[in-house]
Amino acid sequence: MSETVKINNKLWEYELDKEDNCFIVKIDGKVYRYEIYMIGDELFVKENNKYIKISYFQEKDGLNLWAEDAFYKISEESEEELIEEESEKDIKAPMPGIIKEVLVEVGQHISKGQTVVVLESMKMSNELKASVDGEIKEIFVAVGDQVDAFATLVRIESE
Amino acid sequence: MEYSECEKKRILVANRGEIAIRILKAIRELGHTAIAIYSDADKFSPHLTFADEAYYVGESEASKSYLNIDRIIEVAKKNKIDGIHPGYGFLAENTKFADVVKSSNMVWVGPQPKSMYDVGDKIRAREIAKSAGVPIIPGVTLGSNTDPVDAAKGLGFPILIKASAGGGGKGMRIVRDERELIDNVDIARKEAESSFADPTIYFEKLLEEPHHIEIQVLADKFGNAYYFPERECSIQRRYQKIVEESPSTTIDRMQAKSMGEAALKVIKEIAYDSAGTVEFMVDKDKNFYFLEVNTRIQVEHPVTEEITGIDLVANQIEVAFGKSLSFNQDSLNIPKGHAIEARIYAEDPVNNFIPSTGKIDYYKIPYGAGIRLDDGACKGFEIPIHYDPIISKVIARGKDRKQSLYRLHKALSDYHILPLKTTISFIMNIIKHPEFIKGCYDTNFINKNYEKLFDENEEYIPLAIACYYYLGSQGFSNEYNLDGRETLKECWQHLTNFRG
Repeated sequence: MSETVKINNKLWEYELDKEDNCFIVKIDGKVYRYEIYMIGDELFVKENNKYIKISYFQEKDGLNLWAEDAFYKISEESEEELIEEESEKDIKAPMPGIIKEVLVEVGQHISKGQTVVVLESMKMSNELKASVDGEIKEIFVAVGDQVDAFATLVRIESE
Repeated sequence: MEYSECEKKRILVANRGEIAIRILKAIRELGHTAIAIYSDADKFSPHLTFADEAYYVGESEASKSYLNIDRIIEVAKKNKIDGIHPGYGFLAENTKFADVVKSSNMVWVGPQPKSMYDVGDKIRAREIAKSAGVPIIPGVTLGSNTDPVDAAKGLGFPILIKASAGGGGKGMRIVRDERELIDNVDIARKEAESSFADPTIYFEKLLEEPHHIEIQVLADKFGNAYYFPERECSIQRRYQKIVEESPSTTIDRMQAKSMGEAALKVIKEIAYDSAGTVEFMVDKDKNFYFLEVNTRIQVEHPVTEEITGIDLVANQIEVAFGKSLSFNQDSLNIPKGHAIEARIYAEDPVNNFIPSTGKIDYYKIPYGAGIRLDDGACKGFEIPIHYDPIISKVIARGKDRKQSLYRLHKALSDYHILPLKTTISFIMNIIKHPEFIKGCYDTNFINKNYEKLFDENEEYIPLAIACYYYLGSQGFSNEYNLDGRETLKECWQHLTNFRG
């Protein structure tokens, strides 16, 4: 049975097996065998005769993992999609910043690509544009507000 | 702890972040009293913990705090400050601030305001270099009556349009033919006016395959002036340096010497008496041309400190308070090994380098022989949206370039910051690039190799999947997931169970 996981925004299909203390991963017909040990806050992974130290940190949106000079963010595909689905139309802050302009009113019809909010961060102005044609349902911010990254600023209902 | 017996001075650092920490440390090491300032956004900034006293100067916006001359001077006077170190950025090259500091009977840790003024304007600086007998890039200043096309014809395309009062790459435009020139002249003037309150622009011949190489200088009030081995700063993105190394792989010791001597000619022309940097462009035939003088300590100064063993910041403070330098130029000419610096910014390379600010939840720092971390962050610290998004600089020193590259690569692998996006992986891809490893690169490197610098190392994907599965099987819980959806733990249990 093959599983899918999302790593750094790319989907990977794999098969997983456990045999004694060995984890066996199959990707694209290739087989990898690892022994994994938790040592303090880190993992020691043994592949053949080589040990690799893995650091990891759990976040809301997935598991972060460092292996040698690689960094991976691993998440379940389905979970990610759920979050995206409910919110893709809304205007969200891509980064923390200060609201410089709100260019719409509740009830207003807007078209795809129209600038809805101007967000200033580190002296850079960012125009946040509608991704769909739709109607402004709710505005959660006012000019001068400081917002966190990923905060929903304006709710849009698509037409 | 008191290790030094000097006349104790009260020195204020009018800056924040990593450079404030760097300077506060130097002040304490010299035996003086280190004084920090902070804004609302920096109430819990790590730099405060490196000071003996810290004073609030204003609201988060830089114009109300770190750029607020009146307020900083008021705080300084009230707290009997003997001298002010401006760091880099903010007020570091503000002649008015330097003037006010001095007229308030405090020591300005920087050059004379007159020297700052002389080279503060790019056109004026070029004139100074020229009269000092130092080559400048062929160029022409555009008076209001000059016909841009005539002016350009004398130089030949491609041409770089620059703002006379500009800096840091702002307002610079490359034009390749007459039409592009006509399209851009007015825009460039307007940009110069709005950014620097001076619409004067000038044209410079665009050099092919250029290198940005700079010379650190240090001078005192007694006429002693020395130059240091060159810093190669050609790894730039939009004229912003990202990686700097010393010595350069481009020029040899003879050329370094001629550039060093040229740098001294320039600073002697303006009676310079502090730490500073003379920047040059070097073309593919290794001709060098004066670019500008930076009248402050620079971001990349640690590279020079690492290969000479000389504390530039401490010396800058000492000469400002009237001490004399006692080096031997010969001892500075031979670099002790090689050093390289990576600037770590809170920016998301994948999203066109937009700033990635917010609270740091995970912060793990690199260490080891030859590794120096100049940082201004810690776990729990919130990178403010109001200032430059630099987090730190990782500097690696080795007996040769091979060793320092190896050490930097290892250090960057071990430097973990979350949830902010940083330039760590991007820089790792730069220093892993075969052309970089060979030392064959110029200022076009990043543009030329742009796509490749986003490559992801997929070598450990299977291993990562195994670890993901292992952590799930260990009952590693997902404490954040409170909304009733299947938790990662459950997902993992599902995975663990599929074999029964």
